[in-house]
Amino acid sequence: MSKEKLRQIFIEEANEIIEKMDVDIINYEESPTDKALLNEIFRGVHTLKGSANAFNFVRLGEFVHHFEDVLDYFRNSATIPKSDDVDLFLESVNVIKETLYSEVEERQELPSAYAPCLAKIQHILLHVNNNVLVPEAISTNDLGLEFGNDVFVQVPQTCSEDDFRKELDKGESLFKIVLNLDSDIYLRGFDHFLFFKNLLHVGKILASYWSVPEDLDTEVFDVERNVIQEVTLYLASTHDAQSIADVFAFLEEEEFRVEPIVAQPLEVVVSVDAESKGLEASKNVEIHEKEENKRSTPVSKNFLKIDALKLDELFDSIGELVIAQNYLGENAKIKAIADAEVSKTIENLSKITRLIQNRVMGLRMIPIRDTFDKMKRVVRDSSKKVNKPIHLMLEGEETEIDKTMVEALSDPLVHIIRNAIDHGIESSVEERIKAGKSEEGQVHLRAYHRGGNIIIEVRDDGRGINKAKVYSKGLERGLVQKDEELSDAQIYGLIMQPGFSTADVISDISGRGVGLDVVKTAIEAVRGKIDISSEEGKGTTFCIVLPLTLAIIDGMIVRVKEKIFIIPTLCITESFRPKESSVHSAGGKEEFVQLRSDLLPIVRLTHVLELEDIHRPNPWESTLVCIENARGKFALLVDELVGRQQVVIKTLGEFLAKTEGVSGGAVMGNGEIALILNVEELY
Amino acid sequence: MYIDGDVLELDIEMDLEEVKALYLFIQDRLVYVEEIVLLRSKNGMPSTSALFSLLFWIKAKKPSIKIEFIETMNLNLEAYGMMNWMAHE
Repeated sequence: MSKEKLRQIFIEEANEIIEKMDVDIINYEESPTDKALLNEIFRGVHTLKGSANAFNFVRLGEFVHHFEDVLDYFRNSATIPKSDDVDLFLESVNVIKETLYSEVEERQELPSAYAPCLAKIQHILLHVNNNVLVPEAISTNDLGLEFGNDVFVQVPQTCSEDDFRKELDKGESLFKIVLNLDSDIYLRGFDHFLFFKNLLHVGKILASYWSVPEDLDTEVFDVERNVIQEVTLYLASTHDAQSIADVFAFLEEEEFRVEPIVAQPLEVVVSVDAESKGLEASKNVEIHEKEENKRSTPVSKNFLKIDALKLDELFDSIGELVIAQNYLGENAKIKAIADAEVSKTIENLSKITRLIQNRVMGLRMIPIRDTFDKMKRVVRDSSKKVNKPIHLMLEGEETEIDKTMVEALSDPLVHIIRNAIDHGIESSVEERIKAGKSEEGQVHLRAYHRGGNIIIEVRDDGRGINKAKVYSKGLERGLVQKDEELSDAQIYGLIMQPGFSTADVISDISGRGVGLDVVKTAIEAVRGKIDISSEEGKGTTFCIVLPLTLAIIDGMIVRVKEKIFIIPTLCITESFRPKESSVHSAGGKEEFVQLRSDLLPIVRLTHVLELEDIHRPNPWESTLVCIENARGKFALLVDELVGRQQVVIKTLGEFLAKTEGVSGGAVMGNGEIALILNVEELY
Repeated sequence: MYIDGDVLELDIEMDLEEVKALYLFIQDRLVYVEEIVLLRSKNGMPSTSALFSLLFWIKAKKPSIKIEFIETMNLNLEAYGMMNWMAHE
């Protein structure tokens, strides 16, 4: 590997370490007695120091070296860092970030905060050296040894895969099976041992390795919730991997993995050497092989770094594969071949395509946790700047989101949170107490799935939006016409217009007039939108609605007036043909349908999309598709349900992109373009 | 499940319902139970992994309690092979 390549890897890793340090320091401030967390921060700094010096980033190495000493002091003494110390830690992380940038850019000048921050660090070190620090307070441990084994503490003496291979009978192969069962497996009627029992039908279990969390006592224990994180077992079997995988047919794909263990190529080399050089050589090779095993055993690589661009290319190719597969499935000539073998093969191809597509999509999905964690620092800094105590609550950090969207989401989220702290939360504690609220302003960040979308909510319990003030500002700016009637949502929407700000005082963190319109644009760029709801005196909620992915959706194809449309399947709750008696009309215009206890408005697609509708079919002669969006449920009237299909989303170009009720297009199997409906805009 | 003074004897074949009952039973008695022994009849196999999770929870709650397989971190289950346990941070 070239030095330049190594340098690139170092820069990437350094950025990851720095980002993690930020989050860890904020978490450490919340639990300052957590030495394990402090060790984790120290570990990051230690790694950074080693790598910086290796790449001759001397100034970075120098700074990190002193920062490491300070951390080492705290981790080896009973002194708990004060708020000022944590401020210094965070300031140091900023300096590290900026210094790394300077080093990479080969700039001569150092960041302006470098010297003052280093002076503060040295001041602490001087103080502890003169007064408090005893020699043992600074670690004399071999840090390489200390951090050599970082995640798993494996207590039992384990066998290597070679040992298992020796236990195989003739005709048997070795398989490694990894089970990562969800916490709800018992409720789903499964159990690790149920699979063990079933595996005995296809082979012989040689050993299993069970991973349990060390901190079980800190949690409320629930017998019905599985806490075993991973079980790896080795199976000797005469069956193939697919037959073994069939044992887990009822599990989710990500809950199990079956891997055949093939003999190491080294063994082939051994036989050649042994044959040519005799017994002596064979002895030498055996020693060499054992040493090789010793070296390789602890390094089990579970992760592989892949260039995001390559992943995007793969994703695009999968999109094309889906189109090609749909074409095969829909092609009239192929359909006309009345051959069971052909139909079965096409069906099989369809299944495999869907499987590949799901797996590739899964590669792009990452939990939103990291983005949420970064917001802790944003809240801390903003809270200090405007001198308002804030409590941040996070919920749904495990919600997975497309990587592209994570990148697009980060800045808007920062801005909304800053906005909530700066403008939303009351200016003083007294004002909050007077309003019957807690001293700390509450900011709630939540992520969850709803109807095929990912929802990210930022809720504050502040003073809420002054509707009248926003409306008059809108009038003043000419954004609203006099006597124009606007709904609450439309009024709140005004605050996301360019240049709109109701802030009386422009603060350092928001209210600069370049705020929420940029947020709106950024979210819309990833086919998302923002809804605002607010109650004066109680708080405001910014609700970011994002699509699950940017490229492929599972769609229900419907026909309306000989035209084909696609509805994202996740938004559909059911479809039905109503009885005439359950359809009601209000004033001859609005139509409703009674569905069990609900009265749903009927939306005619022909009306929304302004399609020609000479013959207006009665709802009881059509099909109603029950759709759920942010405002609730409604029944979409269509002529016919054609079928369900995975479709690749294609953008419609600037002109059609603004069409109300439509979010994109898709190439169908017959080569025609179908419009994908945006259910949020239909009703 | 049988308690003999300060030793609690458990059948390794306990099912989930029995483990739930054990959890309720042990909570108030954790103070005086000093040892937990897993009993296994010939060809007897565990029915649920929840039993082992509970035993690890008990050990975490009361580190002085003796549970033999946790001391050695492995348990030979014959047909199910050797079970090895790893504590995760």
